[in-house]
Amino acid sequence: MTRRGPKGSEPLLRVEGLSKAFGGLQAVSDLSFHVREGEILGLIGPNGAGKTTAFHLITGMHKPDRGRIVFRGREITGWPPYRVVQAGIARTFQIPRPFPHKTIAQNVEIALLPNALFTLRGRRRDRWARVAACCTRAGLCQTVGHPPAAHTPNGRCECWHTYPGALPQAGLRKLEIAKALANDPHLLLLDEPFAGLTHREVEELSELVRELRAEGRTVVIVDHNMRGLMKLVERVVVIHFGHKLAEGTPEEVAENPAVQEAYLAGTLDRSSSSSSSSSTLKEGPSR
Amino acid sequence: MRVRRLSLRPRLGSALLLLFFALLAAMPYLLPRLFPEMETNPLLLRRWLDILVMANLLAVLAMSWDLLGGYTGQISFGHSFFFGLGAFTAAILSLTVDWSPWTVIGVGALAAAVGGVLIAAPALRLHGPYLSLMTLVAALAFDRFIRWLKPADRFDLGIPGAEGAILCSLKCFLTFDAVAKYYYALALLVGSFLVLWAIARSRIGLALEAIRDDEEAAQAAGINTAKFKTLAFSVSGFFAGLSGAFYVYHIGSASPSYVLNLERSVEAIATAVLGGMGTIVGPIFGAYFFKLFEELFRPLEALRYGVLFALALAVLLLVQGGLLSRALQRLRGRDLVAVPPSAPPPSPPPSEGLPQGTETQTGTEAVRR
Ligand SMILES: Nc1ncnc2c1ncn2[C@@H]1O[C@H](COP(=O)(O)OP(=O)(O)OP(=O)(O)O)[C@@H](O)[C@H]1O
Ligand SMILES: [Mg+2]
Repeated sequence: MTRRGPKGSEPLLRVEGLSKAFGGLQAVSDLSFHVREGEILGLIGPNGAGKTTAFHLITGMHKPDRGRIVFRGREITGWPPYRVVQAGIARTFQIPRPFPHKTIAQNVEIALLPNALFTLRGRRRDRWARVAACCTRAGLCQTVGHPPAAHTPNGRCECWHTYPGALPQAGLRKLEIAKALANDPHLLLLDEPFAGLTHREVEELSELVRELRAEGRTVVIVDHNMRGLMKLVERVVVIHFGHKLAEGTPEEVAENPAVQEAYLAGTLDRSSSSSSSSSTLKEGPSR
Repeated sequence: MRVRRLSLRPRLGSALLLLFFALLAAMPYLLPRLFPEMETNPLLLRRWLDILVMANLLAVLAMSWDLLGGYTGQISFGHSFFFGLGAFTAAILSLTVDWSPWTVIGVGALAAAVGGVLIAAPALRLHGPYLSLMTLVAALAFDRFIRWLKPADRFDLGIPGAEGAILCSLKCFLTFDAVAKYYYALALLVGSFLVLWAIARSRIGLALEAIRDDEEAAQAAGINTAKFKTLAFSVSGFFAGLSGAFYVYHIGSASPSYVLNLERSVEAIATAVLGGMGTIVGPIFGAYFFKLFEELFRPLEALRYGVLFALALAVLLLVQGGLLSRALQRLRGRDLVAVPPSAPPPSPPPSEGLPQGTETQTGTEAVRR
């Protein structure tokens, strides 16, 4: 660890000069930011700012054109996704991507499968215990309903018999989180986890994120705006047109004229229903 | 207290399958009883046993296709490549080395497994139709290569008029006893089924299904997709090659116009589709249906295949889970209400209920679908 982070220690994740173009479109350009150990970081930006692409690049699903990604002091640029997961980074998808033909429990089990063809570790019984723990943790069991048997030590909730197609939107997001938790990540990347959730569900999920942080995990949350994030995150990085526009506490960022302008411009471009720049930034489009 | 009302039902399928295998095991005794003319005419019995041997070989080929296509979602149009690779390896070895038939057949299968790894290398970079096209072209190229190579010339054992064919019937035969050969083929079927079934039901099978349903999501779940796909190609190649190598020992020759014919690939797919893709067990029934139909409707000549392939098309359009699995589900009373397995694998997740930012959601990720 040679380089020192802003707090006097190497940041958990450091992204340097990351660039990615799709054809002529520069989705991410010269993006640099860092994530500190144990924080909850908000990554915000208007539509098409490159937030999801940044996640794809960090997790190895896309290869960056330029730039470096350093995680826990190790350069992970260009690693295949499964190695990034092994290194301790898990992510959720903006649009939940369940395995539709497998039960909810199997969906979570998939994230627990060892890659070795022959191994004595990761026996099925242990895996199932972990599946149950992850489903409960993410609130899935509450969503699908507990049968009476679930209250016994070996009890299992309906996740073992229910398919993802039966889940409401909020349930699918919980499944995404359960799958990510199954990988026991050091760093959790959540792509718009609050989109489409009711106020109460947002509160529940925020609570879960706080708990996860309390047990030593670091969380990055992507969102369009700071609705729901204001009380949750300590620090915000704003991306616009693929590069970093601002960073700081939520209050600092909300006051930043460049950020306000970006949101105003974005709002006008999309001629969306929202009224003013600051309301877009803080509250998001009215539903 | 644990009341498990449905506990017997999932075993229904296994019970039916056991019954079916028992029925097959009894065939050499049942057939002459059921059809008295076979008692008087042993050649007729032999002919029918040979047909059942061919059904078993088709079943093994189709099961091997199913592990790759039905389970892993890597739709191969070129399974004749593996079948032919196993066949030619066995034919050539039978003439050149003095190994036991089982060793030769096993080595033929291993050669096809290596072929599977070779095909997997480019296959890892391709998806969907491009992957299928690649397997098709590989099979065609291998066919032309063998025809050009004329391996039989070395042994002076070519078949006049059959380009690239090897006649090895003096060396590559298992037994003159038709009943014994029938049991060998049955053992091949049951053994292959057990191995493929065990793989499909294991955690490896779960990983393969995850790759089939959503490869990127499988990667995000930490699965080494390249490794598991390579494994699927090589295991699939192994069993397709096993089928091809046994075929040579059944027929006594290897001819590109049969073992490397693209029809073998199409038959394998049609069989798996008829029986039910992604079930492993389905192709067994598909194969028996295929071969019996082919035999019973002999007077229809080429039209038989027209009918069979049209049936496969209809199944593809109407009952994607295959006839058998659909029927079994009915019997078990287990309807998978949420997302029936008949839904096409790359089905997009339910997109309703996005009260906010719907344009956002469809914007980027949907583009890539
Ligand atoms: N695979 C792809 N191929 C082509 N263009 C892409 C691809 N993925 C993203 N893009 C484009 O890159 C830009 C950035 O997309 P990205 O998904 O990263 O934005 P985002 O910040 O996540 O936006 P949103 O808030 O809408 O989710 C967009 O203009 C998008 O259309
Ligand atoms: Mg996005």
